[in-house]
Amino acid sequence: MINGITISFLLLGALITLLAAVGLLRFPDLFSRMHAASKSASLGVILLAVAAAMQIDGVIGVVKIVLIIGFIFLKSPVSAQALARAAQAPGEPAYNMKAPEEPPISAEKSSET
Amino acid sequence: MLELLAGAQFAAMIVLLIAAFITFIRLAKGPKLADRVAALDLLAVIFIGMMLLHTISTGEQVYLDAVMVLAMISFIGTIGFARYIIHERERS
Repeated sequence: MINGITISFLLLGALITLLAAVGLLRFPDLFSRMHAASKSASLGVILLAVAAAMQIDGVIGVVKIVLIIGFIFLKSPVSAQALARAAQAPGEPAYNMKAPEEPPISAEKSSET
Repeated sequence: MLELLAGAQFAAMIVLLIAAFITFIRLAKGPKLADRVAALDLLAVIFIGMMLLHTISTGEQVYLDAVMVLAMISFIGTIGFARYIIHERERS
């Protein structure tokens, strides 16, 4: 029973991670690429971590895996938001989207805050 | 059932290897720096998945500490690259 759930979570997590990589390769511009990569990759790795938590023995390992899931859940949106905000620039081509008139974030403003 | 579990681990490792290879293609191709940084970010997540699979197949819980550290600090590089992109744009 546990082994069956583990097998399905393993395969599902690996396939969702593969889907994130395919989206990173195939989408037309940076923002849709990051949309594919950050969300579905974190879901796939979280499924793999749940599968690992079902197979290992001992409470300490399960606590570590819960911490890993929390860190991935926190880090993925933070890095995606920082990178997407940095990549917006005047004249920057984006698929089906207008470039902003002036940069939404500048070095002086970001070093002040 | 145990043979099925070992086979599923092997299949998941192969699928993750294919995902890493596709991400390497984007890393080599990416037209701008931001695409390459996004590819590096995804690569770190894929390696976290590979190390979790290795933890399952060997039963060694030492790898979990390495996975925890990697999950903790891998986003700092992305944020540093984001700051670098902003500064490069300001300078030009």
